Amino acid sequence: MGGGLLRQIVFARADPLTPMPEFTSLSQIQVPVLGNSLAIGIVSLLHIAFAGLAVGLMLLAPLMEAFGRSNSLYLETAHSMTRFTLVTYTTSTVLAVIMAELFIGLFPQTNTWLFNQFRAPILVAIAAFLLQLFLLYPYYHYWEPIRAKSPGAHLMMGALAAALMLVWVSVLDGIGSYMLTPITEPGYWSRLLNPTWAPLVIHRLGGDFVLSGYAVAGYGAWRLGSQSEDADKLYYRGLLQIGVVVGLGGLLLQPFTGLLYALSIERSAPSAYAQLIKGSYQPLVYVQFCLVALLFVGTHAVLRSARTTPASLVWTQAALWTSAALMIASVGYPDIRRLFTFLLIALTGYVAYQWRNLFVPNVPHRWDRPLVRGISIALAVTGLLTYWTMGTIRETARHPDTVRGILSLTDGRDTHSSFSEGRR
Amino acid sequence: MGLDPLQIPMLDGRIAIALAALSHSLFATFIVGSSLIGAGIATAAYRTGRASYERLAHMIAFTLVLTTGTISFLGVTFVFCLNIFWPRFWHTIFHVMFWPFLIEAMLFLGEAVFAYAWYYLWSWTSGPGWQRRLHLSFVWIAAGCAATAMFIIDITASYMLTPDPVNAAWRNIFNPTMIDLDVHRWFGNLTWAGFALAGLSAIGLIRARTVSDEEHYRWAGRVCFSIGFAALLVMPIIGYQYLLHVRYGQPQSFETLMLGERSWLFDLVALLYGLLILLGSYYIYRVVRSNSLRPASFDLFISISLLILVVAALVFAQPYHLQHIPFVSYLTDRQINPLGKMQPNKYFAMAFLVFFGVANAIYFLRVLRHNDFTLAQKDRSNPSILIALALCSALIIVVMGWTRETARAANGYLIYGHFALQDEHATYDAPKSGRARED
Repeated sequence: MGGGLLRQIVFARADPLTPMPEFTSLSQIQVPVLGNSLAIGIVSLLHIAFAGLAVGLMLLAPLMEAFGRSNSLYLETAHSMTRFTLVTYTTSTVLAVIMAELFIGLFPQTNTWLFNQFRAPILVAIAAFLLQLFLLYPYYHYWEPIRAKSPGAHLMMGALAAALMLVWVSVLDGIGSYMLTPITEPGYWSRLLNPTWAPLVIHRLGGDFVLSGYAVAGYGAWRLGSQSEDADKLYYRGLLQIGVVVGLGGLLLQPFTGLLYALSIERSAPSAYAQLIKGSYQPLVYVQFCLVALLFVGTHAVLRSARTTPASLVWTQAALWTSAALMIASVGYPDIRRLFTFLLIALTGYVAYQWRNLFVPNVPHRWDRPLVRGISIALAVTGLLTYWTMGTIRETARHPDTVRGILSLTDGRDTHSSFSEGRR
Repeated sequence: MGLDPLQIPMLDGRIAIALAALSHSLFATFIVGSSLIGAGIATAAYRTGRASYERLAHMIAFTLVLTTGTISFLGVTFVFCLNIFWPRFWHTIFHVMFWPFLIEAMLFLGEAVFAYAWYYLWSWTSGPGWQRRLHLSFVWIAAGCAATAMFIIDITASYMLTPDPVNAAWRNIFNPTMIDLDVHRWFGNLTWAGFALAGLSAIGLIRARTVSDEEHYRWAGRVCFSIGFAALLVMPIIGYQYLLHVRYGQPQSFETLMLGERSWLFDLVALLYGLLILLGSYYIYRVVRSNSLRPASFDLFISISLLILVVAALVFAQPYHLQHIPFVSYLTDRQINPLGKMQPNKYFAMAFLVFFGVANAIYFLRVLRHNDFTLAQKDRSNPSILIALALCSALIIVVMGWTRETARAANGYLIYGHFALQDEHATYDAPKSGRARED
């Protein structure tokens, strides 16, 4: 029987849909003051802030541990990153539960219908999450004993936990992307592999690195200001540098993954893409590109301020700032905007490469300067705001639907489907 | 727009939900109990400054962090399972109990944040006075959030058995079985958490490498045991009240549990309860006997007490309707076992279990003050008893949860009288089959 259950759920192909009874006997729940959509939105944004950071740090920790074989700073960084992940772990999960509960209570039909389009992937995701839990806790709480016996096994535990977390995230991204680009093919796995799933997974992964990188840099910068011991200063300066490298690395990749994601939306849901670029939510796109530009120029400002000789590459720096401004100005013209975006990436990459000795240990630089620390903290906040804006933009792309073209938010005025739910 | 039928027997879904719910509740009850015990122990550490209290509090904080992390995952799993296996019921109950559910989740968030702060800011215990006080407040807030969250979720749990009226969440806060269930769970949680922490201390004792570690874990095991055992002794009194209200509030359900097809579950609870009292008293016997300052009356009293407890535990676990026990028809055709009558046999048995349990506990608490024990350093029996107590208490928590749920499900209801298992059949079967598979 148990085997039958697993087999039927995992391998079942969906049968013709059966009508779901309307829950008309129950009155509509209304969240006071905020409204239903905003209530879910706020909790979702809080959740993704913690979850995005945790995923990024979980992926970075084993990487840092691997580098830690030659430099103990990286090892300590890996330990701190895992500690942060664990401390925020439950908060993030409970926020997810609250988000799911709001979803169940306020948009029951969407919730019930949507969950049941992904039964098998959800079961796989739960199994992966459980295994991840069994690996992550000993990875942190028995750090020294396991490393004393086998550093390789310990590293493998961290890497496996991160990989299993990616399985979880990928399934959730499958549900999220399906809401924007649903497909009619039967089968749970086909629905997961909808046209925007892979681009979303890649783009979000890049976003996690940007978010966590700048968060680490911001934290390092904040703590660096209050240290008196040399060893502590060295550690927090190291955190600041690692954070900037990770954040910048992710930032240089993100426009490419973003382009891939945007093109996949444009190809599979042109009206949704048009709504993003030209519709009533266009200001959000402007905000997004302003924040992205701030991340680029802010990172450049950090590198420049940390140098003892900031005067080099004057024209390149001027071109970098100009490209950022032109990228914002051309938001409504995707082709021109992309041109300036790529120029901005190239210039930032070039400057960072030219100033690479900023990250060489034991070379005197001015990472401790209040200006560097201040901008780094501002970058951490900007990184989070960018992450939130991108999440919001994705959700608005299918407005007023909860599942684009299938289920609607509105109360029956503009619905495509046989039923609607909720109120804005 | 609709759902793809699962095309599996409903029993599979029920098993999946039961596994998710029971594992979730096992950790939830532990968190409530251990946060309350942790708050008490941390306060003792703050007031007395004794290192042993602080060490025990730290162990509790660690288990609290681990179980909080685990339950957050189990909570997500439970919600997902409900969405998939019982979507119609889940929507209905959630709609009625939307605000209690939301408040409960937020309270759990509060518990998690403060429990984590309590553990991860442990260095504050050696800081200045304000830092120590603030650190102590973390565990009290965590315990307060956990206990209030339990109160909120008990509203839903009791409502499902005795909905009154069906579609008014706030008026259902004090439904006929709400208060009894909540008080019963307070003591049940303290029992389970107390014994579980005693079991963990016992494992620490077995693995201890230094004499000071052995002394600490032995002491910690006794402290946690005394909390668990004291709470255990109160359970039948509240349980009796609870059943009384079930009897008047939902007579059909009461009948199913006490005399009907699921009465074997109640017998199983009785068996485990008797076993817990018996094992606890045997532990008391071994500990008190090893203390040279024990009262002179103890040796004679404990022998009589243990004998009576064995008899009482056996009577308390006797089934009345023999054929309601699974597979018993292979052994006998007899229908009734007169020994298993509730009145007066089981009432007497219960009274003896509680009375002699209390007397034994008083002896135990008296000698606990005198640290003059002469146990062999490598004694393994006492830790083994504590571990057995922990396992039995975990089992009784699970069986009690199952018993409460089955009181509804055995009569075909998910919300008594208002939402039946039948109402969920469309989730499992395609309409063309025209029948529900309830195998």
